Amino acid sequence: MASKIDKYLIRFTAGTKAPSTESFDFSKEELTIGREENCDIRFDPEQDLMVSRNHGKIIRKPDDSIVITDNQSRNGIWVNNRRIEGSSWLKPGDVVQLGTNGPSFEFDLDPRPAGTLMPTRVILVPPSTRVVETDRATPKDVKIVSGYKKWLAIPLLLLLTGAYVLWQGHTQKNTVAGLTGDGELGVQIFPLHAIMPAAYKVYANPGALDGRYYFSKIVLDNKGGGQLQNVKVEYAVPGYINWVQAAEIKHILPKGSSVITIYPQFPQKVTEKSTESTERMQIRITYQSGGKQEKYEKTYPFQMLSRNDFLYTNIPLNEIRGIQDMEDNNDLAPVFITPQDPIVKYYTQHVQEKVLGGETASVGSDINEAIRFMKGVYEATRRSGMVYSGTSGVQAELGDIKSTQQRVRLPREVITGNTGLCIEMTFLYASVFAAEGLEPFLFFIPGHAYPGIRFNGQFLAIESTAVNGAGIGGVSSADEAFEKGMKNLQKFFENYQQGVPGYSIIDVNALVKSGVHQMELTDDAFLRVKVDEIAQRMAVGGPMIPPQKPTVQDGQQVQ
Amino acid sequence: MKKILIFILLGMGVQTAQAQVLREPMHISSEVTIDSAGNGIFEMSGKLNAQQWQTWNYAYGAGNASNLKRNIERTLSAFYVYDFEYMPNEMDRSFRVRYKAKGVVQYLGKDNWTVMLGLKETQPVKLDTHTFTATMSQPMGGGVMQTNMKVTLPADVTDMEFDKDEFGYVVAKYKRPTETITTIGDPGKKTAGYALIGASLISLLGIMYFRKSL
Repeated sequence: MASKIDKYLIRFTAGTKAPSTESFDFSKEELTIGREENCDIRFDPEQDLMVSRNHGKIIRKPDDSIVITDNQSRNGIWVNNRRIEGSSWLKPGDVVQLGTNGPSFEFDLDPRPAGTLMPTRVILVPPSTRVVETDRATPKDVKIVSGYKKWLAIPLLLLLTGAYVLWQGHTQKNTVAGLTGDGELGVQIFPLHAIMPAAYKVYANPGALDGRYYFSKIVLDNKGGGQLQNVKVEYAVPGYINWVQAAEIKHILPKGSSVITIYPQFPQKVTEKSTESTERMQIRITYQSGGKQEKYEKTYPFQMLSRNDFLYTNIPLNEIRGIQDMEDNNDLAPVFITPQDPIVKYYTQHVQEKVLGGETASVGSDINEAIRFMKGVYEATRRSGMVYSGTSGVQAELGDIKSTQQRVRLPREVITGNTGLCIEMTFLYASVFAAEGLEPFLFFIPGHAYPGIRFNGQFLAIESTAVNGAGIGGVSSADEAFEKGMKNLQKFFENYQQGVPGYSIIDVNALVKSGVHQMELTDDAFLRVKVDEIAQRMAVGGPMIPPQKPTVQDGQQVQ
Repeated sequence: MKKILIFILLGMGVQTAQAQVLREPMHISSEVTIDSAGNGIFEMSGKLNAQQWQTWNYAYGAGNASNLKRNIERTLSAFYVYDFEYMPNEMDRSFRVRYKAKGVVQYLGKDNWTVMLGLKETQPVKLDTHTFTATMSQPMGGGVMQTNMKVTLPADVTDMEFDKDEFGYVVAKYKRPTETITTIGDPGKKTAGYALIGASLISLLGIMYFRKSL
């Protein structure tokens, strides 16, 4: 081809030099383009301002192929309306424009070689020494890559990788241990400061009154970041209870708590306790935290009263504001009502035989028989010369520390001692009523208590202290005691139904069913002899004659 | 919960002899919300008739709310209750009691939990995955006390089911992720992702800047 081509032809088609044509000898290997004076294809330095001083050049390769190169000009070179970057093949007939709106010319060769009639596709050509795989016969297969573009693969790869990692960072599900670190045990103890041995069965029973009378409540808090494991709570009361495990908790989580209520099983021998003493409660807590075994120990004192002591309330004195608070332990009163006591049963048997005339005294569905039995119990105490000890039967005033605790003789002691306070006589009557199968009730009013029963839905009461009560002056008859009891009852309900403080009623059977069980008492031959002696006095006068006229008819409201 | 109400009413002196006081049904609403540590917030409210309100006030009104607190503390012997709030409304004879309790729920291990609220003779109804209700009707002093209780467990509770213990009390059992926690996202990977994207931009700028020498 080189031998046939004579010259280059540059036909200016736009710009100051259009429509002229310039020709250059094909022997020149290079035609420079620009506004510089020494450029081969020179443009007007004053008017063709779109053209750089050294805008580019047309290079003839050794095989006579032609390449146009942009000398990093400001406005670029366009071949057939496509901007070239670096270099591009140039074919005869291609239109070259310098800048977007700059001058243009048609490149041609004279004579034009065969097969080059179609305009050349713009193909990017790397720097001259790096042209690869050129096939001039099939230019569309030629792959020439600009130098810096391959470096673009790096940011592209980084971008894709970054996007993938970021997507994972936002969507990945991680399963991690939720409980790490050590647990820290916090302990709070809420103890009873005094207990009544008579109520030892209640303290031992979580089901008694729904567990209200717990002996001690221990609150375990986990204040650490890890869990507490295998937490064992043990306690002991030296002299009474050896070490017992109250609870074992497998896990206490961080910020979590566990509450242990202690219901100690005191031995029956506490009911033989005749004096008050100070005892010790020992608590030991062992647990694991962070794989280590830990231990917590605490000892605190408490008062164990005698078996005869009735503590009216466990509420601290500085928190007591009314008579209701003073009677906070009234639900425990049935522990002093002992119908199962062999001595009380023996006494009841004598009352039936000596005062009520044996089997005729049995209480059926006749309310008058129930009344006769109540009067019979009173008559037995009157005939035996039982003495009412005084009026200070129950606590009457606030602020009197002694009145929160009272020494109460058991029914068997009231029988054999033949004397009692109102509360003691009330417990005796209730015990005998219960031993006979009646439904005993206790009525508390400020400063006083008296016994009664509920029979076929009706309440009946008797004034047990009328044997020698200051209230009614001297020894009253059984009829007078019953009449007084019923008057008291009427007044009681007037106040009770209005919710007046200090008026409360104890349903003994209901509380027994709720777990308030009496203490265990054993038989005593000496006390039986005493009961026999009393029974001889009871017998004086013979059995009570059944009432000629019923005091109360069935179905009539008594109070 | 039923135990609390019974004892509250007993504290009011509502016993056998007080039949006429509670002839009308007494409606009590209560809500229990259990948190993720197993502690609970209890809220109880009720509206009383004139006679009930008078008796209520004898027991708990006129500055004697501590009696109410004491009754609740004793009745809920298995819990530790604290942070009491008592809000009586004299104008419409209603009240609201709110308190917190520790030790309401037991964790049994392996993500298993159990809650006992003293419910008996009732059939709980599941509202959704972590909420249930129970309705109780209880004879009380010749009247009837109706209680509607709603219990809300933590939101991530699954497999809630009901059973009864040896004594017939309702036991709610459920699972919630405790020993292992599933989290979404990884801060390390987020940082790495942003760093790679930043590096990509920086390298792109570098290439563009040095493109003529490449």
